Amino acid sequence: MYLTIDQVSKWLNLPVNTLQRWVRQGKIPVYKSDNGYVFLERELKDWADSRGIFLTPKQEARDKADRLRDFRLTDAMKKGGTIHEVKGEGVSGVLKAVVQAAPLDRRIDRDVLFRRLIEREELSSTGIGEGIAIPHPRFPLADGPEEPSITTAFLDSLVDYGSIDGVPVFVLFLMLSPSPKVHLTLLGKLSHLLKDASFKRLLKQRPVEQDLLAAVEATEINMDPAGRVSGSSHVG
Amino acid sequence: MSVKQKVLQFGRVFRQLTWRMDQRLLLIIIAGVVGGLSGLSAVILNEMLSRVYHALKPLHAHWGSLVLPALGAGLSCLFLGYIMREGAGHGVPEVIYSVLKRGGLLRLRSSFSRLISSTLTIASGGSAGPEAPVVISGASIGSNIAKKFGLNDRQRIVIVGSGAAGAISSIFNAPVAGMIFAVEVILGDWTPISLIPIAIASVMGAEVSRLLEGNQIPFTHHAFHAGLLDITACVGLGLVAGLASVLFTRLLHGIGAKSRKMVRFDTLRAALGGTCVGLLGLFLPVVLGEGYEVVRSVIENRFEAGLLLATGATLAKILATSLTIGSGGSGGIFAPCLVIGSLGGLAYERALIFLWPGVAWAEGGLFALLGMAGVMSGTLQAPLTGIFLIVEVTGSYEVMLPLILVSAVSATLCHYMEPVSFYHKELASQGQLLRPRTDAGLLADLSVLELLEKDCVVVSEDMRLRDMISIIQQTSRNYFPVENARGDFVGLVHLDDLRPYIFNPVFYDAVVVGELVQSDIPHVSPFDDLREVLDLMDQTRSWSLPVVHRNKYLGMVSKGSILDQYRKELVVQSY
Repeated sequence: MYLTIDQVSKWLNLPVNTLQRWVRQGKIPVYKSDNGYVFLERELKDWADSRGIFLTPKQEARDKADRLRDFRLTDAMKKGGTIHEVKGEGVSGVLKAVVQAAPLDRRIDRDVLFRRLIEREELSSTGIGEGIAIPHPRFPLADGPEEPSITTAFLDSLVDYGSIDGVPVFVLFLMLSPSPKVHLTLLGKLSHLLKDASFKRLLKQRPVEQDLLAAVEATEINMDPAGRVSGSSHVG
Repeated sequence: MSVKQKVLQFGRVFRQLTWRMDQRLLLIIIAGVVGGLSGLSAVILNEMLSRVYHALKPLHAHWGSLVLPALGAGLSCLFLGYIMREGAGHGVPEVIYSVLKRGGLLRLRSSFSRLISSTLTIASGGSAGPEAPVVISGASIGSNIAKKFGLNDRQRIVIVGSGAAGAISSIFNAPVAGMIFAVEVILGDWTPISLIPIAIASVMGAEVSRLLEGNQIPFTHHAFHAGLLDITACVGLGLVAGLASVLFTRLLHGIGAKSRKMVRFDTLRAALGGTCVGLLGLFLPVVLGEGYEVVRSVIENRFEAGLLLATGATLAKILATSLTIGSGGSGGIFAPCLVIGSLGGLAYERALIFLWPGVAWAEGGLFALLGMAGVMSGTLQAPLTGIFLIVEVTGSYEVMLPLILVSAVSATLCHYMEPVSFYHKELASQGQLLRPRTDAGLLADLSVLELLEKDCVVVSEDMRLRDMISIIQQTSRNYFPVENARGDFVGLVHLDDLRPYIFNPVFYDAVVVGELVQSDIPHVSPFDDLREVLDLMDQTRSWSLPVVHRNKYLGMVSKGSILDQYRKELVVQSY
C-alpha cells in the first residue's frame, strides 16, 4: 500500500517538516512520483521495526479514517439485507434464528456472534421501545466485516424483549460494525430514523426490502454525516 | 525529432533507468565515475603545474624568485576573489563544512577554480601543495554529479567523499591513502555503505593516473633497515614531528589572523605574503614550490646539510608555507607536510649523530620518511592517512613498525596540544564541527520550528478569571500564553499562578489575566540553535519555553518533545 507524506507524518507522530528533512537527508525510505513523495507501507514498517520506532497501530489509524468517512445507513442496510417471518421462542430463540438467516460476511463465525449478542442482551436489553430492538455485539468482532452491516429482521410473532416501555418487539435491526466509531455513527442515524413517524408506520406494514431501502434513502439524504437533520439542532 | 527533443528523451529514459536500479549499486557506479573524473582533474593539475613551472624556470634564476611568488599569489587571489567569487584558502575545510552542514553541496565552479589558482600560486614558487585544490575539485565534481542524479544528502556526502578519495588516490598514486583520507578526514564516518563506493572511487582515481602518467610511485623505493635502537629513537622523532606539526598549525592560523588585521586588501596581502616567501627563497631555495624534489633528494640521502641547515630549512619551510597559505595564496598543506617532515627527520638524524656519534644509526632517509608520516599524522590528526600515504608513496612496507610508532606518538602529542586538527580548527572555533551521531550533530539537525507545540490555548490580557476557568477545563496544558490587544506576546500564566484564586468565586470577576501574567519569562526565537534553547532551559530551570517571533507567540518548545525527537533522530542516523 502506498502512503503519502501526510499519512506517514500521522503514523510517526512527526511534523511534516521533519519528515521532509528526513527525506532530503535520506533517513527514511521513499520514492518520488509525479505528485510528490510516496512511501511503501511494507518498507516503512520494516524500517520502523529495525529501528524501534513506534508506528501508530493500524486500528487507530483506521479509526481516524473512519471518523472522516461518511458511512451511509442505506449502504449498511443494503449489505445486511432484510429477512421476514423470523420464528423463535424468546429473545435467544429469535436472535439465534436471525443470526442463522442473516446474509452475513463469510468470515463471521455465527456461533460466536450469537454468544456475543446474548452477552450484550444480558447486560441490558437493546429494545429501544415501540416494538423495536437493535441487537449488536458489545465490541466489534475480532474477524468482523470491513464494512458495517444492518440486517432488518421482521419477527413472525411478537416477542417480549424486556424493552424499556414493555412493548413486545416485532422488528430487529442486527448491527455489525468494524469499529466503535462507526457503530456510534450508524446508531445515531438509525435512532434518528426511528423517530420518524411515517417510517415507523412503514415498518409496521413489514415492507419488502426495496420499499424499506427507498424510505431509508429518502430520509438519509437530509442527514449530515453525524446523523443530524440539516437545518435543525435535533440530535437523533 | 530535433536534437533537443532527442536529448530530452534520452535524459528521461536515463533517469527512469537509474531510479529503478538498486540504490547501493547506483551509488557505487556513480562513485566510480566520480573517482575517475577527479583522478583526471589531478592529472590535469599535475600537468599544468609542471608546464607552468618549466616555462617560468628561466626567470627563477635571477630577480624572478623574489617577484614571482608575489605575482603568482596576487594573481591567484585576484582570480579567486573577483573572477570566481570564492574565498581564498585551500579548500579542504570547505569540503568538510559542506559535508557536515550542507549535505555535501558544493558549487560547480569549485571543480576547476582552485586548480587554476593553485597553479598560479605553486608554479610561481609559493610554498603549498597541489593536493587540497584537487580534493575540492574532486569533491565538487562528485557533489554536482550527485545532484544531477537527485541523490539525497547522505548519498551525496558519500559521493563527495568518493571525489576526494579519487583525487588523493590519483595525485599520489596511492589508492589506500585516498580511501582512508576520505573516511578519516572528510567524512569522519566508517560505515560500510560509505566505505565501498569510496574504495571504488579510489581504485578508479589511481587507475586513471596510472593510465595517463604511468604506474610510478612519487618517491623511489629504498630498502631501509631499522634496528632496535632506531625504533627506540623513533619515539623521540615522534615528539619532534608532533612539535613541528603544532608549530605549523599555530603559525598557519597565527599568520592568517594577523595578516588579515594588518592588510585589509586581499590581493595585496597575498602578494606581500608571496614577497616574504620569495625573500626566504633567496637564501633557502628549498622552501619554494611544492617541494617534491627536496623530499626525493632527502630520502635518497642526496641532500647535503648539517644539523643547523636541516633545522633551519625545516623552520623556514614551516614559515614559508604559513606565509603562502595564511596570506591568501591557494594550495594545500599535504606536500608542505611531507617536506617539513622529511627535513625535520633529517635534522633529527643529524642531531642523533651529533649526540651519539659512536652509534651506527640508520640512514637519514629512513628518518626523513618517518618524519613525513609523523608531521602528516600530527597536522591532519589522521594517523592512518599518514601511515598509509607514506607506505604507498615510498613503497617501504618494511618500515611499517617505526612508521606506526612515529605516527601514533606525533598524533597523540598534537591532540594533546591542539585538540582539533588544522582542517577542523576553524570549524570547531565556530562551533560547526558537527560530526554525525554526536550530540552537536543531532541538535544541529533539529530546529525549533520542527518541535513547536501548538496545543497551548492563548488567552488575552484583559480576560476575566471567570472566562479562564472554562479554558482550563478544555486544555490539558498547564501554561497559558498571554497576548495583548494587538496580538503581541506578553508573557505566560501558569496554572500554579491561578490556583489561589480559582477555587474562590469572589475572584472570578475581580481578577483579570493581565494581573497574573509572568512577563519576565525568557523566550526563544524559532531560528535559535537548539543547543542555546537547551542551555536557556537549564539556566532558567524550566521545562518548556515560549517561542516568539517578532513579538508574536508561535508555540511552546519543551524538553519532553525535544527528548522524543532527539531519540527518533538518533535511531534514524543508522543506515
